[in-house]
Amino acid sequence: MVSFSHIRNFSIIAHIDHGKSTLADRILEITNTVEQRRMREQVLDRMDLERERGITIKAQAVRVLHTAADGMQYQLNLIDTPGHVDFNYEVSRSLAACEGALLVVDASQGIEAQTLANIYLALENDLEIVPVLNKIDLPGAEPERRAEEIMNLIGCSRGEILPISAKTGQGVLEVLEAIVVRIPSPQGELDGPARALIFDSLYDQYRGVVAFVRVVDGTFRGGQMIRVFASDRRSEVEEVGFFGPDMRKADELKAGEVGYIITGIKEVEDLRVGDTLTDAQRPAAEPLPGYREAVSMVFCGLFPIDGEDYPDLKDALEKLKLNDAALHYEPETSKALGFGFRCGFLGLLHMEIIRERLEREFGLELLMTIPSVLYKVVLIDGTILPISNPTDFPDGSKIEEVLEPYITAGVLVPQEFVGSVMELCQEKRGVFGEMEYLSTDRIRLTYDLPLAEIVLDFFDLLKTRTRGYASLDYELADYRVGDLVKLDILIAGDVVDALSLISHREKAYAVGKGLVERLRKRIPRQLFDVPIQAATGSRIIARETVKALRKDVLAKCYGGDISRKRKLLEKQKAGKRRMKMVGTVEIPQEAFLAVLDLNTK
Amino acid sequence: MVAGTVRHLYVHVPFCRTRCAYCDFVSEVLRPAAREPAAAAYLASLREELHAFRSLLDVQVDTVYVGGGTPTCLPVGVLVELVRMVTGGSPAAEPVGSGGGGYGCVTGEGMWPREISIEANPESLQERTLLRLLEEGVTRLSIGIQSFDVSLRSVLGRRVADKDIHDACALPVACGLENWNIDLIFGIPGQSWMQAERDLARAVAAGPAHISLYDLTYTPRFAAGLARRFGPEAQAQAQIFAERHYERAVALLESAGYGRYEVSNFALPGFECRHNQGYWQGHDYLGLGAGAVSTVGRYRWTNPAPVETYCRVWPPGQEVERVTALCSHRLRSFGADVEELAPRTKLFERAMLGLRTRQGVGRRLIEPVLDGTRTAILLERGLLEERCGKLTLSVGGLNVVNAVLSAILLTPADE
Repeated sequence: MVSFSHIRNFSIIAHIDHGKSTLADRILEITNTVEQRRMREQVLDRMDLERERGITIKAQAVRVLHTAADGMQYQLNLIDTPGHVDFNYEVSRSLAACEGALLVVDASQGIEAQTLANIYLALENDLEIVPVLNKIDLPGAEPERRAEEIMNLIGCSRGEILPISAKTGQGVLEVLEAIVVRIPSPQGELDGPARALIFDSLYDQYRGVVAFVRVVDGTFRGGQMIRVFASDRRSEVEEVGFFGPDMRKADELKAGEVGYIITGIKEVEDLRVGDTLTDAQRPAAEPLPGYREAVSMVFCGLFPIDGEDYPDLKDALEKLKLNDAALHYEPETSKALGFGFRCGFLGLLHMEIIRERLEREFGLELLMTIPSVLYKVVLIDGTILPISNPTDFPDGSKIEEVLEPYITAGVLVPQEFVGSVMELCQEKRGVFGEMEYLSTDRIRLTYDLPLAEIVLDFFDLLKTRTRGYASLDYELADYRVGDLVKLDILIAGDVVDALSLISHREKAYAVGKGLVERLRKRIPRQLFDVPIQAATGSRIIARETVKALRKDVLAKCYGGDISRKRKLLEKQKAGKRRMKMVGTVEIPQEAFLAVLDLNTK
Repeated sequence: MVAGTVRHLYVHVPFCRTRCAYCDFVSEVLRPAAREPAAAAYLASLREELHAFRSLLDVQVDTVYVGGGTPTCLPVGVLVELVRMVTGGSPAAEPVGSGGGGYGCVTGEGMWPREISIEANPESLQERTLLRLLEEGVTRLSIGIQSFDVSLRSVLGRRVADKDIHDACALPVACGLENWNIDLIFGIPGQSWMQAERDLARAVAAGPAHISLYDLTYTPRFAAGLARRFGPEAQAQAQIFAERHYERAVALLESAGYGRYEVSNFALPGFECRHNQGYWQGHDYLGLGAGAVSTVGRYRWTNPAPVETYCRVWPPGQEVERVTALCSHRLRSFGADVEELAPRTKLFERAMLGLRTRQGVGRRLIEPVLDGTRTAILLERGLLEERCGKLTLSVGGLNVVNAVLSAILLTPADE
């Protein structure tokens, strides 16, 4: 084992808006990594969506050279990580590629739940944490109070916490110095069999899959035959290099360094985050620890509003999948909505992002069905069926029990809102875990909650009831038995597959009643009565009727009126074409949209 | 090239004493002093127009409909001249022989129109006018009553005294005319079922051979005025009322012996309006006058309006160029707005109009524009009926004719 004393690998842990990207921008400036004229905000966030939402979706890395107070030049590798709980696994892989982390905390807002989750991840990975209080120049800053929170949390001393303003650059040089002094240099076998941890990847349409790696042992260079451990895929390296922050070709990537490897592999599936690359001729015996498959936690159907867009949706999903191995999809046919895809996501944000990218980058108009989770249905004969689509839910008589995924949620909230949060968690079938004081006025609550409840409207309710002060993180806990039923919506006697959902038995009535009422308001009156029913199994639990039209006449139709009347009819017909015919009933797309959005009233 | 014979003639009289809030026909209010010269000039232009079309088309008039505006607000002499213009003279009198193109002589039964309808407003209908018109061969009178209730008439902006209404309704019988019609509007904002029922009862009691019951149409102008006067909810409330009671109103007329032979038209047996049936059966028709619409073959055209513009296009004494072919270019030279109807469009209209009538329309004929699936559903639900190859709407179907048509008819875009 050798120590590479001139290298430091670190990441930044921060909540959205606490200044991670701004600090990264300053570091790039101070070290002259990016020329002044090419500098722009959030240099590392490449996607429009990232810039707009102020979040990082894909991990990024950049190498900066810094001459420290000791006169030596150091290679500092900053690995920028996604900040959201959905990308928890990717965060953990990014952290695994580092020896230290900057913890950036907003001096007025304090630590948030997701930050906390990432701190725990960093501690698990034995990272040296360098705490930084940002935005100390703002009027609302409470550096003393926030510093106390940090000290309680990571057990550091007050003097170790660096006060900075990423915006003005104040204190940033001290941060660089602390990175050099406090964060350990990486260690590895320089001459051993080559091993590198893949912490992200990117699909380039001309060059195939580009792996973002931290080399742990040995050396990688162009022309070398490599092997991917989990997929056992072999390939010849086209090029290696580092991020400056653009991709810069290099002769080799050595142990301790961070950079990219153009693998020559064309399928992103073959190269997953967390996997290990090694030399095919002289392979390492063991992969690096911690690899696991990306698991879909949230599922929904995506259907083009215009059926003719189906091929475009297919292309778009294929393209997104190239860069996002965590996205799963398969074709789905709905009687009501036609052809579409059943998609699996890491979490809600992931789902939102994919939908937004499909709509924005590919110009698709989409209908999204009610999100679902992965249930395990145990049949009487003992077989276990994984069910992510309510349509596939078996008949109640065949079911022994249904298991549903639970998460452990951590909610950070000011003391005054503790009551509301507890109330909300109870409503959502939560099981209380523990309550701890982060400081005198901020509390961390943990609850075990069914994931299905989080998926529907938990975030929105949490925000509303705490006036936006609460923050949430969660991780999958386990599967537990739930009293769950399939809730069907029948329109004119026919089950509308796209509207089926799985609900807790006690809530089925309220959910069904709400759905049926919303549908009644949104289905235009037809030529005959249209009953809308909610049913669990064969039991009708709610019913509404869209009353038939009794009068719809164009009163006068003589010689001078004919063209006008014809055009009026044609216009009505054009409106009809946008409707879906379900059985004998015409349902406007808007009705589906509104109904599927459970938050609207 | 337009082929065939035109048998239906419409003449538009675009003058009124006052304008009604709900009406959007081409019409102008004339000062009494300007009436005579304006009417005479307009009549002269009508003559020119008819003359020109007689040279272009084979016009064998079977029905005439003089509508407006308010035809009866013309001076009696002008009105008589107008009728003579289209009939060519009085059936009892000597041939006038002044018409052009070799027409104008009463040469036989077939030439004389079977039906000459004229519209009238109660306030402008006088006994001597009606008697003169009947002498000239007018066979049918249509009186626009709208409502017997003075307060409801005022909602529509119709300022007519009850006495005028009463007198007008007594007139046809007094003059020995059996074939006359009352126009009623149903669903006037503020109308109660009691009022609606009384309107219908009074119409029936007046003893016309024909009653038209129109669902109130909300033109943007009328809707805006209504909201201003009676509040933003007035229209919606009236529409809810109309929907709730429409079926009853229809049933009331039918039980009084007036057969519903079209969505809004009810007649004692044998008194159906022949002219309007021509429209619904897809016949060609020629419309004369400002803003009038004609449909001949694949052309539909709308005459220029207002009156001034129309009269400029047809100045009196103009020598019309002799051409035998009708084409869109020619029609545009008359200042008309021309629409060419594709065969499918003609078929669509044929279905749209035919299905408004009790007679219905042959299914085979309109099959190309019919949505088979939806037609089958509505047949099963009893909104449509099929008998002897004819498709008709049931009573319930007629009340929702609009929705039925938009369900079962295919527009070119549906293909």
